[in-house]
Amino acid sequence: MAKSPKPIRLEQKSQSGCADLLEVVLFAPQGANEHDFHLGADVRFGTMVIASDDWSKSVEIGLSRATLGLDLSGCEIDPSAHRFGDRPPVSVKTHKENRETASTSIRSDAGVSLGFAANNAAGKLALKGDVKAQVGAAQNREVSSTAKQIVEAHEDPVVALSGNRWRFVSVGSDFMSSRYSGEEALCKVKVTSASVKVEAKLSFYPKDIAIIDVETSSPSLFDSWKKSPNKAAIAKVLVAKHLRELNPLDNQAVPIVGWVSVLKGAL
Amino acid sequence: MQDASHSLFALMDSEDDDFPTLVARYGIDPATDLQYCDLRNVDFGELIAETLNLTGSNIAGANLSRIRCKNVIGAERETVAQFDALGEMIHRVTFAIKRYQNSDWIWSQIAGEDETETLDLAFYDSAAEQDALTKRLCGHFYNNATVIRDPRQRGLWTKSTAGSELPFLNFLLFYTSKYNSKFEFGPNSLDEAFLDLITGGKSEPIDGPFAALMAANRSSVQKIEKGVEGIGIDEQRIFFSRAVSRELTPGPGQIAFDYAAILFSGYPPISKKFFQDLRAAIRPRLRLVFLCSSELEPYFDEKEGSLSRNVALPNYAIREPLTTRVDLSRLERRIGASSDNRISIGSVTLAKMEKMVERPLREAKGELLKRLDDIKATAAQSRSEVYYL
Repeated sequence: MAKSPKPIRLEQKSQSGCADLLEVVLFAPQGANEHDFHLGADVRFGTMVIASDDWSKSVEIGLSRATLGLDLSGCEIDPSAHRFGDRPPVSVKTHKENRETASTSIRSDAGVSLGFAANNAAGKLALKGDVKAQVGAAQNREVSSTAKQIVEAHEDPVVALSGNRWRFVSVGSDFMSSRYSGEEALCKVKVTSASVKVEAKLSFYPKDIAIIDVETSSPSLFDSWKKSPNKAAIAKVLVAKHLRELNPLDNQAVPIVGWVSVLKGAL
Repeated sequence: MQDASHSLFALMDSEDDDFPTLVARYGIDPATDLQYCDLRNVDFGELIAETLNLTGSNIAGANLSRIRCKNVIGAERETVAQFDALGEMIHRVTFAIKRYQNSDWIWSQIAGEDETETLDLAFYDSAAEQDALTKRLCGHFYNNATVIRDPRQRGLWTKSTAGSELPFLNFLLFYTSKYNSKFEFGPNSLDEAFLDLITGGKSEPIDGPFAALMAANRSSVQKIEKGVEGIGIDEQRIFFSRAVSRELTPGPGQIAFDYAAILFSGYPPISKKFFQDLRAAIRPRLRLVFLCSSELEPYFDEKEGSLSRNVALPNYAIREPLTTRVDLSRLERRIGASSDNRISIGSVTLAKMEKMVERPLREAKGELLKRLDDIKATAAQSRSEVYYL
């Protein structure tokens, strides 16, 4: 009978920098042992409101992108195992559709109308309708054509990157919200020492900050920011500075570290 | 509450849009704070700094052409130079579209209505267009003016015009090219800007076929300019109104005018208060026409200028210009000329513009500007030789 591996009890500690915007909690969903364990990361995003002293003005912000980086000691990611967010590159699919529609209506003096429509698809002309009579002169003619090009692009909200990193991106919205990771293991970790430690840093750059809404007595302010790239840029720079000022983790670093989770244990 | 958030809320109240001013005002350090930032389409203006560090920042469409920084990190000098040319070109095209006016439309609208008691406001986009439109309108008003010869001023006029008499007519022209746009768009500020031009004697003569009438006009305008006394704005409004009234009142024994027109070319529009003073002082029915620089047009925009329309006169008495096919071809030529033929209107936009014929010209210009914004956002990355709106 095979000897069961010795378990490792892991403890998780976390420290927040911008708790409202993002959070990460590391865990081992199936527990850990002396050989390996599956590492899970519960990653969530939210929005944050920055308000003035008198609460008369506020700015709601979110993140359009963030990166999770792992720093491991006493263990390493199993390179042969699947990682959450592994996406083999695929060829871009471009679908072009050209459609030309021509319609002609002919009115006779007696008010009898006759119509037919022609569709030209993929180089083949198909005529629909029943032409019953020959009419001399066309009195009213309308021709319309439309050209349509559809480009199918696929974007993943989570992508595993080199260097033990994962990138989280908003898809279909300007900012991320709710849970992005945690239902399946992030990766499989091989234990190489009696003491293991995994540190996860969830971080973002100032350019990843999205201004979602501005509450003020002037309702047109948000629109004016949208129209003025200079003001919008300055606003985001100031928001980034504010987040750094609030951040107990590191107030100078680029990228801005929003949350740190440490999972450690020993045999 | 931290410093940066105070700055953020101060920014909300700021009217300023100049990037170097905002950077300085809110304590942003160009050497450190602009890394990894979203700086798309930002006009850096004349930013002065020892080091400008743009490492990791998105600067697509940004204009770095006029910065004065010793070290620029994160943007190659070559790229900066490219932004220079590209940004300048887009700026020129924006300007050409924004300022475009259809002077034929303006003339037909103003000349099409005779002896109406209206307030007309129209815009010109260049000094040459101001000159041409003013002369054209003068021709119309002089052709339709009621002229009375005034024996009172025979002596004066004899001396300066070799025997002719000084005519009185029910039309006055104030023309100046000394327009200064640096004023706030408020009632007092508008009137001050207007009266500064009057009291400063900034009116200029204009050439044309109606030499005698224009000479008479010049004499009247100079008398009005000298007739504005007082220091306070209220006083000056009243003095101006009275002086105008005197020049529109024929001498004793003459039949009074029942209608008068005044064309202000190159002067800003006046406030409601000023108009009331003018209306109270002048007896005949009065038509005022203001030809203003198109820099003022946004204040009178149908949607965004409603606040300004409430404080200033005149309102749009002439109908809003509608797009014609001639406008489209002129705009197309302007875009080509102002971009050295590097920007043209693409077939899709052209088809869309065709559908805008008979719709307000403002909308057609807005559509082109919107397309230009799209180019601005992507041009720096695409680096094409030719761009299509």
